[in-house]
Parts: sequence; C-alpha cells; structure tokens
Amino acid sequence: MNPISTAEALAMFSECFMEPADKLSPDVLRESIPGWDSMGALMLIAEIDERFQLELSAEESRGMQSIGDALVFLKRHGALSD
Amino acid sequence: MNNRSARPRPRPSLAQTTRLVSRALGMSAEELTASVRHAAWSDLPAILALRTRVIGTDIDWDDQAYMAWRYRLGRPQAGGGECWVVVRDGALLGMVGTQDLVLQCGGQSCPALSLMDILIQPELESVGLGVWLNLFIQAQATATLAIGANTNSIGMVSRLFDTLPNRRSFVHPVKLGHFLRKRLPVPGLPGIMAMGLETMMRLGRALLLAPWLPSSIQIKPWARLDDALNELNAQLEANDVVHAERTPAQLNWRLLDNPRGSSQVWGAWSKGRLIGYMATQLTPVDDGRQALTIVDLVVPLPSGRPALRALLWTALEEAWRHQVEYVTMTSYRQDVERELRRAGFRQQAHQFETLGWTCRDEGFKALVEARPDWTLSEVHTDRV
Repeated sequence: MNPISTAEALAMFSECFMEPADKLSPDVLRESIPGWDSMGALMLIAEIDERFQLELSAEESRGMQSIGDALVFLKRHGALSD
Repeated sequence: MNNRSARPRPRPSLAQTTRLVSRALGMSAEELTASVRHAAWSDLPAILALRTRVIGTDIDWDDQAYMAWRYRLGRPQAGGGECWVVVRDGALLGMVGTQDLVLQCGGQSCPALSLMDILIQPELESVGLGVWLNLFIQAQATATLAIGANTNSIGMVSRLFDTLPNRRSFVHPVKLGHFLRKRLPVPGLPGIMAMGLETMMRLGRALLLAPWLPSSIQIKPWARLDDALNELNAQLEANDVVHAERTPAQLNWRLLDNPRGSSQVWGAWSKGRLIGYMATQLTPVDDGRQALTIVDLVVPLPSGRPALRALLWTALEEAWRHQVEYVTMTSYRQDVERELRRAGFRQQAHQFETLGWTCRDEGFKALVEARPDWTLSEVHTDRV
C-alpha cells in the first residue's frame, strides 16, 4: 500500500463526489455534499478498494458523516501519510 | 446545436461494481448476477411492500393496480416493460423497472429500455445495488434511457449515462387569482385583477393563434387510438429527429388504461388524414387546484405547423374550460418549442429534466448524436 497525503486524499474525495477539492476539508459534513449520495458512496468504496486494497464496508460508509470521518478511516488503515 | 452526449466523468465498470456489491452482500459475483430476474406475478406482494417501505403510503393511486398495469410480471400480453428484481434466499433486495421503446433515427431503428422505479431495501443503502442494477440493465440492452431524475437519482444518472442536454419545461399560466392573492394581500383586488388579466390573455391567445388556424383542420377527441397513428409515424420519418416510435396499442395502454390517471387524446385531421395528435391530462397541483399537462404531442414539421397551432389552441381552450391554473409541457424538439413560445408558453428552469442514455450500437449512436431533437415526452416517463 502506498499511503497518500491529506491533500491527495481530498483530491480523491473530490473525484468521488464531484465536488471541487478546495471546498473539501475535514469539517465539511456529508449532508452538505450533494455528490456524496449512493453513487458517490460507491465511488469512494471503489476508489479505496482499487488504491489501497482496503474494504470499506457499507456500514462504515453509512457511518461517515463528514470528510473528517473518511480521513480517519484512511488514517486508521495506514493509508494516510500525514 | 449538436447533441453529442457528454461523458467526462469516470464511471465504475460492471465487473468492478459486481465485485464490490457482491462482496458487500456476502455473495459471490456469480450469485449476484444469478439473483436478478424478471419479476413474476408472485413477486408482486414483496414489490408492493418494498415500495411502501421506500415511497411510503402518501400516494394518491392504487399501487397494486399501477404495478400490475405497468409491468408484465410474467404475463406476456400485459404491461409495457419488465420489473427486474434482485432476490436472495427468497427475500427481495431491490428492483428496477424498464419500459420498452423503439428509437428511430436516420432510417434505422434501435430497441431501447427506459429505466424507472429503482428501489432498494433501506438497510442496503450505500451497498451500491442501485448502481449495479443500472449497469446490469445497460449491459443487457442495446440502448437505455434515463429520462428525468430526482434528488436521489441525479448522481447516478449523471455518472452512469451519457448525458444529453436537458429537456425543456414550458408553462402557460391560465388562472392568475392564486398567484396574485399571494402577492397582493388586499381583499377583493386580486380577484378583479385576475379576471381582467385572464380575459386579456385569452384575447391575446385568440389574436396570436386563431388567424393561423385553417378551417380544413379538425381537432377531434380520439376515444381509442387506431392504425391511423401508423401513418403519422411514417410522416415523421421525413423529420430530422430521433423519434420514439408510438404504436396504437402502446399509446392506448399508456394513455387510456393507466390507473394513475387517464388522458384525453386529440387527433388533428385534414381531409380524412391524421396530421397530428396530442394527449392531455388534468393533474392535481395543491388545495384542490389543477393543471393541464400536455403529456404527448406529435406533429410532422414543418408541414404540420397549422396542426400544431390548432392542437395548442385546443389545449389552452381545454385549460380555460376546466379553469386550471396553468398548462405545462416538457419538450425536446426546438421547432415545437418555437410554436410553444409563440402561443405564450414560457420556459422554466428545472434541474431534474435530465436526459441520459447509453447505446452499444456505435453506428446508431452517431446518428442520434448528430440530431438535437427527439420526440420524447412525458409519455415516456412515469410522472403522469
């Protein structure tokens, strides 16, 4: 696994949720990101699977309420370098 | 204006999505693929229970009658398409509906499925089953359409389909009392103003449209569509549009036998020949008020322009007769829209009037993308 920086993680979320990266930060809530819907959630699962070979379960995905929660998931699994 | 579809966004492949979704469901990829099938009549109770869980009970139609009408459910002569279900160990996990269409363009035909009614058990939210169902259907069909969207589906439509320019929604006000009462809180005044303005609008319509209505065209209610419609389809072949074929049987089913609301069908005739047709439906707005929706309107242009004007005149007169608030129509045909504007319709912004499609026939896809106009209408959606 090649860990990525927080900035790279935000760029990854930007792709998944079709939201400009500069509008994403740890305190941004899921409900304020229109693209973090069922499609966005699947894109995130697919991206994490492909990049890090990590399984983000549907329960964990549903439990994420903010960008910060997604970053914590990456950190917990050693996918975040900073 | 061309109609090249936009596909700038990465989309997951069916293979990748099958792997992720099956893993999340605790199934193998093969088991997931084997779990999807056309619904049978015996699936109806589970389908209705799923719809109640997802949609709720605040609906104004008999859902059992509606589903039995819309989908075949194992009865070859019934419905207008299939309800596809994902079933694991006898439990319904999700469903998607498709309506059969035939697209005609540049002298060629292509079978297509219009997707609707995607419903997933709430506890499976975030698994990606709805996304997988979309991709699965796309892989089964030569062409698929996603006509319109809502807050839940717009993300899927924009990422899983090639998006075309949005459809256009038009509105023509008829009754102004409600509008004025909300803005002029003076007792009596809004009613008087509305009466005067409505009369002026009606006179204006008469001046704009009536001089162009030739006496040789007769607009008549059509109780049941018949083979005369096929001649209209043939006339449309000369039009440079993507035509969603209409057959008498299909339209009778869709417009006249629909348990959610029956339409009024009108034919425009000249010298015994059908030169245009329109379907209208009264739809509830709120507080007991109604609108009139032009559900479908097909006229070969430019030769049928007088017929189009006569049909629009008929719709507006019907709206006045029923004292509805306004008339609406959703269009994807610029030559028709010019006549709508001329008749006093105004375009209104509507973010969910999306149109997405996929086509695995590259030759047909190129023919479609070279044409900006389609004869799609509300008759191809499940909204009315």
